[in-house]
Amino acid sequence: MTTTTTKFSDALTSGKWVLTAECLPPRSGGAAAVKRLAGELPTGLDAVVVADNPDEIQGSALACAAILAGEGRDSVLSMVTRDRNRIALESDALGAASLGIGAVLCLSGAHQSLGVCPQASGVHDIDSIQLTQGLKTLTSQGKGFSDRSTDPRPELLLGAVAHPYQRPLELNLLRLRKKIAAGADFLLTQAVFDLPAFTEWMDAVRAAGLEKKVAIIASVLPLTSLEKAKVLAERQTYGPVGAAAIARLSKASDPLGEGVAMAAEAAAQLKAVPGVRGIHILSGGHESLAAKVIELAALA
Amino acid sequence: MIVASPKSVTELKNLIARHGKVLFVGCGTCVTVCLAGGEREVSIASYATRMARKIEGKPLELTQVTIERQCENEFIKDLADEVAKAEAIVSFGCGAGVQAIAERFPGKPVYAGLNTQFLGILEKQAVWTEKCLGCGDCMLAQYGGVCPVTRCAKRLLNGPCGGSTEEHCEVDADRPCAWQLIYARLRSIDQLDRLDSIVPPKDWRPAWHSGARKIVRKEHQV
Repeated sequence: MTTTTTKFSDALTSGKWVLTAECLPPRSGGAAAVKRLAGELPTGLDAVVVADNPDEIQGSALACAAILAGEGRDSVLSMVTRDRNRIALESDALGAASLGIGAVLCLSGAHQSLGVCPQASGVHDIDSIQLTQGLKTLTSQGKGFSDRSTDPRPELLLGAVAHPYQRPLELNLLRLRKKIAAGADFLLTQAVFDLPAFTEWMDAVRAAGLEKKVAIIASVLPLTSLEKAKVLAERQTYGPVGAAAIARLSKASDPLGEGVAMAAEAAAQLKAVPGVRGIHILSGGHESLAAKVIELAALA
Repeated sequence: MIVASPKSVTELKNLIARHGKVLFVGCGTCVTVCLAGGEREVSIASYATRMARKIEGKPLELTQVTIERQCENEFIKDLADEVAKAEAIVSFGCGAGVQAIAERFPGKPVYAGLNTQFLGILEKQAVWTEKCLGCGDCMLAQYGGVCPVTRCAKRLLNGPCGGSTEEHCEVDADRPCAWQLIYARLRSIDQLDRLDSIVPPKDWRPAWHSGARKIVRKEHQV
C-alpha cells in the first residue's frame, strides 16, 4: 500500500518548515463526524496529529487517523502506553501502516487518574521510549517485540514528545537524548506559553547539538476560556500556563479571541527561535482554531 | 513490611451480619507494627463491633486472640480450639494471613478485617509509604536504590514523564516524582551514567503477570 505520508515525510526530510495541528477523535459512533472535522482542519498542514484519549474517553485514534488518511490527509497516530501493552501497540502500529497512516507519536499519556477515567487500571507495560525503540526496530528491521519478522515492513515515521519546562535541564536532556537514540524522527513539544523558559531549554538543546539529530516542532495551544486556562495552570501536562497568560485572559473582553491571539503570537515568536523546525497547533478539541492561528501568525 | 489499614466498624459489622459467634484474630508481625491488626487494634475493633451489634439489638459473642504470625501454619494451628467454638473468623492479618487461615480451616468462613495495602516503610509517625511491588526481578541497582516500577505512577523505566516537576509527581502533589529522586540519588553517588542507555522493556514474567507465584528452594527442604 502506498502511504499518505509524502507531505509530512518530505517536510521532515527536506529540512523545510513543518506545520501540524492536533485533532481529537470525535466521541461518535459514525465516520461522518471525523469527515466533518477533516473539513475544519486547514489543508496547508503537513500532518494532522490524532490524539489518543488525552483527557477523556474519545473515539478511537486509530480509526480517526485512518479515516483522515482516507480523506487524503497525512495523519500522525498518537499511541499512549497507558492503555495498551506491547502486544496491542505493535499490532495497532502494523494496522496503522496498513490503513495508510504514515507516522506514530509515542507517548506515555496523561495518567488515567487525572481525568480520562480515574477508576481504570493503567497498563504501563512499556514506556514511550521503549515503544519508540520497538517501533523503530519494526520499521527498520521488521522485527517486533516478539522478534517475529514482518513482511513487508511498515513504513512509519516515529515521533516523541519533548518537555521544554522539565527541570533540571540535565535530566531533561538525558531523556531527550534517549528519545533520539530510540529512533524518534520528530519531537513535538508541550504547549509553549513561557518563551524565556523555552529558549533556555532550546539553548541547551542546541549546545548539545540535538536539534541537528531530530526535527523539533514547538507546540502552541489556543486557550479558549479563563476557566480552561486555570485548569491547565494546575496541570503540568500541557506546559505551564503562567500568571501572565491568566492575567491577559481575565482582562480580555473576548477570551477566545485573546487565546487565539496569544497562541499566534507564541507561534510567531517560536518560528524565530533557532533550532525550531516547525509549529504544532494543539486543539484541545477546538480544531477550527488552527486556521485562525495560522492566519494570524502567517504560518502558511 | 506489609502495610495494611483497618476496615470501618460498619464494614466489620456487615461482614459478620449472619453470625452470632465470631473469632477475631490479630497478627503479631507486620500489621502490629503498622498499627492495623495487632492485639491493641483487634481489642478496639472487637469492642466497637460488639457495641454496633448491641445497638442493632443483635448481641454478638466475640472472642479475640492474636497470634505471632498468620502466614505460618506453625502459629495458625494454635487457633484450632477457638476456631472450633466460633461460627466464623475475622482475620486482622494481611491478605496472606487471611488465606492461610482459610486454607487451614476449610469448614469455617474467614473474612478479612483489614485492607492490605502495600510493601512499605514507616516514613514518619503514622505515615507509611509504598516502596516495593515485588516484581520478582529487582532493578534497584541501576536506579540508585529508588524503584521506578513502584514509585513512578506510570512505571517509566527511562526517565520522567512530562508531568514531573522537581517538587512532585503529576498524579499526587503530596508525592515526590520518583524520577527526580532517582536523578538526585544517582547524581549524589556519582553514577548518573547508569541513566545513559535505554532500558529495554521489562520482562514481567517474574512478576504477577503469570499468576500467583511460588518459590521452591530445594536447599532448604528436608
